[in-house]
Amino acid sequence: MEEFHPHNDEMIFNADEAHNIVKECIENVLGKADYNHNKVNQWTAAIVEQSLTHLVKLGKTYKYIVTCAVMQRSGAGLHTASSCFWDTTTDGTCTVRWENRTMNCIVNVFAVAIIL
Amino acid sequence: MEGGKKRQDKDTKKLQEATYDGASSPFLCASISEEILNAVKELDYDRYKYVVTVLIVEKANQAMIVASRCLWDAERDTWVSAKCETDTFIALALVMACYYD
Repeated sequence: MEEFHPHNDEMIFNADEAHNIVKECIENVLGKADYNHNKVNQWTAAIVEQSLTHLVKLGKTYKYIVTCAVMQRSGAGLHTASSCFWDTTTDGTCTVRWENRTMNCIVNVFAVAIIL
Repeated sequence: MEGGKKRQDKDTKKLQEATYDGASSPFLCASISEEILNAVKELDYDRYKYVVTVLIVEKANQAMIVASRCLWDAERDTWVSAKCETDTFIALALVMACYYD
């Protein structure tokens, strides 16, 4: 008898794939734009939603959490740290840093496996 | 989550004394993240995985926006956030909990 669902020990989060997906989404949305207070809300929502949609298209049984922070470039410092309590063999994270002349953007993707 | 309030207080106490410092803030950020994770684990919920994210931003008259979206089970998974502001920086913590079988 054949089994069609993936075995748990074969599910590994592919961080490189996620990195590329997210980078592309950021480029699409922010591209050559300059920081614009009126549009920032739309941009962050677009980046996060597009990233999520593309990640889902990979077809893997994961729950995703995507956070995006966009900051105006002013020389100020920004630090981010995260801790996770999960199954390190199947779950993973990926962070993408992007910047242009007027703003910085950091996107974090956390993927938590669903065991069927 | 009820535990959210507890975490917010913990955050605030430790951070009120600190001032932003380019050298020590990365360590502060990471240590707060670990502390919050430990505090959440102590709440001892059964069958939950946690993700804690902490952001520390220096105040320099710049604007910033943080957004997030999650693809998960809306009935079982949830999140909580806490913000702490001082004269020199703002600290933001996000805790997400995902159910697993």
